[in-house]
Amino acid sequence: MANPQNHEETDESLMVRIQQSDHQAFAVLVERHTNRFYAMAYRLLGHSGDAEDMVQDAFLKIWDNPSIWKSDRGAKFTTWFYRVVNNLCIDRMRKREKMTSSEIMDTYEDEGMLQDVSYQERQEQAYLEEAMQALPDKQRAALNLCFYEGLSNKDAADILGVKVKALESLLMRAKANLKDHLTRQGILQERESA
Amino acid sequence: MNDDLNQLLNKKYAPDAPSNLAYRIIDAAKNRKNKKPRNVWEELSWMFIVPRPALALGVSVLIGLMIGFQGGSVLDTSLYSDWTSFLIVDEGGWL
Repeated sequence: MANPQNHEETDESLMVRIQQSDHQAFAVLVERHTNRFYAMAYRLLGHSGDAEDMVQDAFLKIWDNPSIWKSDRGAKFTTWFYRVVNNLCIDRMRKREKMTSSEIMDTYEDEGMLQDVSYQERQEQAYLEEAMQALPDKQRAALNLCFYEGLSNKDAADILGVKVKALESLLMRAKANLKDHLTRQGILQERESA
Repeated sequence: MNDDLNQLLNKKYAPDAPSNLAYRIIDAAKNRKNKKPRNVWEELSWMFIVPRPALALGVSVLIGLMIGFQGGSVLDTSLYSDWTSFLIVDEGGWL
């Protein structure tokens, strides 16, 4: 489908070709980034079907209207695309009910996920997912971008449209909320400060 | 406890994307039109494109005729009032 030579082309030059309706360039870009952005969407949404929809919607958005990407602004394609996927996921999170740990366990069961790990580990994952879903949208997105995607605080702040100080505060509050939630569930042990 | 939390976060599960997801996206794009960015001249020329020329012409003729008829009667009235203004002498006032 895609020419292997194209894999050496930068994302930004592929985007320029997509702006000229080059479907092959679009194919290369999709093949290159689907896994990364799917993982990101899954971590935010905790649901494989929703994550698939978001990644598909985000890529089709750039195919339908490639002029939304402005090459002259100098932003890296991936940083810009993180913002697109992140915003779509936040919209979806707002429309969806938050799942409890037992509902999350049912989802693992239904989708055949985590079958090779012990019940206890699966439950731990479900509590962690429940705690993540209980976080406010921006805290969750900040944690996802910095902790899992490994983005710098500056890039993550740009994506979320906040200042670096505000991002640091979001991260601190996210971790504090997670600790609180997981301690109440007995997943983390409460330790008295010396 | 921060280390415990980091350890736990590191273990957070994220599945691989379904193997056919990229293919499905590429295939879905094939059936959709992609809008090329247009320069200023193209944008201007797009402003004057008439989507259904025959219908647009018919409607314009109809609207033209209606305005023509209306305009005619307005013109008659105004000419009449202009003409009569020469004949009628206003006798009120200080004279």
